[in-house]
Amino acid sequence: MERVVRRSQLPYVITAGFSAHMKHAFGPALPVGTGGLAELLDVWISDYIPVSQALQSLEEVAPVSLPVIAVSYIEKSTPSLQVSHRYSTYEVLLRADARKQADIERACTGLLASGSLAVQRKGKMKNFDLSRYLGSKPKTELMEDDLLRLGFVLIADENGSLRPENLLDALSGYPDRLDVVSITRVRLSDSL
Amino acid sequence: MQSLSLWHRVEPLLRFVERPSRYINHEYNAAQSSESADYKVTLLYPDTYEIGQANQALIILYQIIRDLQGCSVERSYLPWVDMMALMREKSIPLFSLESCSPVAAFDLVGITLPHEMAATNILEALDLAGIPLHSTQRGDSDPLVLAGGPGAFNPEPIACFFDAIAIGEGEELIVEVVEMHRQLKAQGANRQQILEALSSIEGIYVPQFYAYDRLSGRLEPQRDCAASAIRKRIVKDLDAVPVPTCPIVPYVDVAHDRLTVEILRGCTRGCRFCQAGMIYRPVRERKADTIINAIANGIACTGFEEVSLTSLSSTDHSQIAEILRRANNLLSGTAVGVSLPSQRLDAFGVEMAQLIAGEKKAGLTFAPEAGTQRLRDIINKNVTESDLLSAVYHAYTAGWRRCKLYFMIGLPGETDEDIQGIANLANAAYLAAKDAVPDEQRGSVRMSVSVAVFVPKPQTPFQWMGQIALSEIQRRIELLKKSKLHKGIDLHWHDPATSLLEAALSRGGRETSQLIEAAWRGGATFDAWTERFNLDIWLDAARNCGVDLQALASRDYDCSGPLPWDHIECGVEKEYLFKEWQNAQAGVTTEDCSFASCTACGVCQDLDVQIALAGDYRG
Ligand code: SF4
Repeated sequence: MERVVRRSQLPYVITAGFSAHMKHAFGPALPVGTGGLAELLDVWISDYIPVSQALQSLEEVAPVSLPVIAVSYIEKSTPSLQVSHRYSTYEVLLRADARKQADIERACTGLLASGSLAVQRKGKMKNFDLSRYLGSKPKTELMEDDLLRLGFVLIADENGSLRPENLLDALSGYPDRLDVVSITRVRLSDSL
Repeated sequence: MQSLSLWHRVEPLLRFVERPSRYINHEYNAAQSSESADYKVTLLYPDTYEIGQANQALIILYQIIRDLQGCSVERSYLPWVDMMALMREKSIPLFSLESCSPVAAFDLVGITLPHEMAATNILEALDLAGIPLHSTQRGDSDPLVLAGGPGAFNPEPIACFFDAIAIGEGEELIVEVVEMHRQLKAQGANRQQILEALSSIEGIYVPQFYAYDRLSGRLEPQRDCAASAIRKRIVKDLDAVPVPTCPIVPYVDVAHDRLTVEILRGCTRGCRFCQAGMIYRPVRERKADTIINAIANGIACTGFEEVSLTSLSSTDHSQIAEILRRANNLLSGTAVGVSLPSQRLDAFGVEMAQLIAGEKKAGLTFAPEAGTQRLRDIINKNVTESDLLSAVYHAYTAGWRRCKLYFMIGLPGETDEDIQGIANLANAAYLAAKDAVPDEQRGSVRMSVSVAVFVPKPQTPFQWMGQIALSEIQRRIELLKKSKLHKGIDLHWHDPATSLLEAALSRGGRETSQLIEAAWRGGATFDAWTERFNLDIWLDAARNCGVDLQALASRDYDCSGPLPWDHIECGVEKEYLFKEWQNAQAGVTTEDCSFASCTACGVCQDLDVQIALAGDYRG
């Protein structure tokens, strides 16, 4: 995205110091292998450019598959995206029929009833309290071509966050592995 | 070719593999896959996306083919082992990035030959693509498999895997190959007719038309259409060739992730170990105006945060100071840095140190290559200890706190004193660096010494001599490790086993292909990756083929006899290389013809080309 901003010729601010670079900051990183439909980035610019003009400059030079959707100004005092935007909404596409949908629903209920999810991180087991790290019960929706949409919100805090594949692994095996087609973060927000 | 996209089968695999971004395409400036093109090319780099994406030759060829009416061009890379395993399990063939089509469905597959260690990856790529490995096994429905790149100057070890090999610079050659192949296909020509026609293009070598002749000891043409020697192609006026200013901008970190502007081609310094110095002769520079325009347009079109002014020896450009000054002015306040890939010691003074510094101090590399003047004279590296000390002093005065020094061990004529000389020279350079910085910053002075093992290369004055034995290389590395280096110097050395294989392959003849194929069948791939390289596989393969890897690496060729690459002409006469070999043995140096007079290497007369300097004569 830094390269998109440079191509847009917006008057970006550069940091002072030995290794000068564009002043910008990303929101929480997307897990590897996950698509993103609405990622966020803070960029500092030195002159006021009307929002529509800034958006147009960015749109013109963004890759087709990495379009800039919206631009807005924020207060200088706004906390960083890493701190403020902790709610990630994911949509997972799976190959599944109605029977499998029912299995997954049952697996979700079972998981929530257990209250927590143990995940291995860097060789250690870590327990995530689902009431804190999972926004609500995952929702399923059957679509055309034997595809099933599974939607859920994961919440990050200073102690860490669940990754979508942790949840999918936990739902797997009921009764067999999930046949995942894609995982996409569709929203990154500061509240549920 | 109708849409054959494999994406629906590839996408589900991505969450199970490392770095899925290697396979997703859609980067800024990537070509659109064109359904309407009647001729489709894929350029295949035989390594991962990160290694091949920024390859300069591919960037150039991609742009040229994309601009040809009715042609489309895509990229293919070898997937990493995790992805390949999944693809083989699911029977998914090697695919291109842009349209995710099977590589075997293209009209032309152009494969880069970056270095010897990519040999097994080429076989892996062909096999994964479902293309028969040997040119002679392919039929009319298979694509034309073309190779090109620096590895083509001794093509024999991999020759039988290719239908045609392009020798030399590809800008004009690729257009001729594409136009001819496309026309012949449209006319319904069969594979043999196509290969015969292609072999008439200057610079195209069709290996299956040549066979070993016992009498001459050379590969001789077996068809009338095949020339007795294939002469390299060359771009006479580099300045007239457009600089690619809209290269693909990757989403992820790749090797050489920056805008590159090639400021000159060729180098006539005449280092006797250096193949690039011989095969890319003579020097042809781009003009300062051309370069500055390319930087401005390139940064606007890519947004890169760094531009590298590339060549074999960028500080040798006759207008380098002007170019750096103008580039720094142009990029001032943008946080875009200017870098040079390596700095010539004797050209790195106060002014150069300040000009390269700019807003960002990118890595700084000097290559004295050998530890003593005696050995530097043997290899014709015409720099002195005082050149190094003054370059380091100026660099650290200008603000650098870290630099890298490159050396080689195993050079012809090397003794233990030369090994100790590496440590002595590095220590002296380190002290010069400390002298240059204020007292309170001396603790931050760092230097790294990187030592490669010398691999004799074809088309150089050292082409006749073998590599020293592995055990001796190991002894010399130990000697260097024991020599006393200052605490602030880190020592790194290349794996000698890798260099042994490189040497065994680099000067091999056609029979070497059996060894490569046996190693690949034994499981060798990604040999250039330390974590993947397995010498045992190669030793087994050598045993099965009845050859000795060490003997191949250390064989000496008779200076008056034939060489396996005699039919490939880079323009530099064999007699000149031999004279240079004799000069090396006598410790006599040879001047750079871009600074002094012609030393009669033969390339200018042979290829009807001239040294083309943009500024004043360098001498
Ligand atoms: S022919 Fe002479 S001028 Fe030309 S590259 Fe060789 S030595 Fe230099």
